[in-house]
Amino acid sequence: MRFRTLFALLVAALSLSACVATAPKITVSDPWVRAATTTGAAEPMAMSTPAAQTTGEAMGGGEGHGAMAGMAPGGNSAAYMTLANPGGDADRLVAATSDVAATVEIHETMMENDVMRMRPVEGGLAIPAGGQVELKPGSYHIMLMGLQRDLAPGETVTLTLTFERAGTVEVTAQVRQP
Amino acid sequence: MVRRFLLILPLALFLAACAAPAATTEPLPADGSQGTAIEPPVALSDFTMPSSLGRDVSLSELRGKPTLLFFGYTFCPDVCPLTLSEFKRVKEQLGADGEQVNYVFVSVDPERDTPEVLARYVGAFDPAFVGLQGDDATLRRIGKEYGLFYQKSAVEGTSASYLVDHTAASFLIDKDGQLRVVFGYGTPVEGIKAGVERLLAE
Repeated sequence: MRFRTLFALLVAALSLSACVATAPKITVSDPWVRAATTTGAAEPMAMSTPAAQTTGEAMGGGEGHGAMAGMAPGGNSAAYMTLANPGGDADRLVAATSDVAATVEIHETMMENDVMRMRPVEGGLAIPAGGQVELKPGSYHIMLMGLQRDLAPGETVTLTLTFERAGTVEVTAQVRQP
Repeated sequence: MVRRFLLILPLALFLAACAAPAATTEPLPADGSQGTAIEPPVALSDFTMPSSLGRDVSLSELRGKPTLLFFGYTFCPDVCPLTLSEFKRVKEQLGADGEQVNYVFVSVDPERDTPEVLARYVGAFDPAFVGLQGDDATLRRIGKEYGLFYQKSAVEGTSASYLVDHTAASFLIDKDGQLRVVFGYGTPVEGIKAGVERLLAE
């Protein structure tokens, strides 16, 4: 164990001293976020089942619905960009955060026979060595759930992306109305 | 039989001779770039749903103008808002004629999409867009006429309580409440606009 740590440190030190460019790196190009307004939509507790409806929370009895003054946040948007991996090792986008959304997830939209399905990308989004992945409408996207504010065209949104190898990358995305 | 044929023949000849040059509806391009025509048109069943206007709205109320209609939900990341953005562009490109069309978003997720949520959501695209809160019973009753599929599913790996898979096509209804054209997802705005213009010219 000690040897492994030492080895890792040695490798890190060598790579840092030798050349910064050899560190795993992901380049982000053309990041943008779809313009959206908060809708006040409350996320249901779970799939509505008879059992869930018997509980007070599921009926919105306590806090929640309308309890807050003014329009509660809520509503979704999505962030798009191209992620390029110039390095020799595959990497993976495993998480993302942003202060404009309560929850940020990596999702994929799929179209089959004109039916739209959206699913989370399991295990993160792979970015092949020397390759790139395009996040775009109707495909991969970073899902911004539970908006904290309206996102108007021309504004910017800060996202923090976490990659398995390249670590965290901060991205400033333009808000656009597609 | 022969007699009937004799009756039809002059009629057909008359139509071919006189009506053909003045035919208003050329067939839609086979590549679907202007949607798929519904032949014969389907007279749609009426339905009534709570709306973003704060009152119930019926399909029959929308008669007198063509209607562009889309089924979706506000939780939808890109397909639904993109389609509403396209409706907005169609309206803009039609200029003054754009006002002569109804633009309707029918939610297949009544739990999240209350009339208030729908008002915020569709209003962000255009104040004239109408959002309807579909309910299961109504959607199941009318869905067949549109070929509508939707399915709620609890999905692992997301904090969302559930997601809804749904048909992503748009529907063009004429001023008499008949389904005339289905636009597959990805139909160019120009194609949707051309379809609306055909109906406006009728």
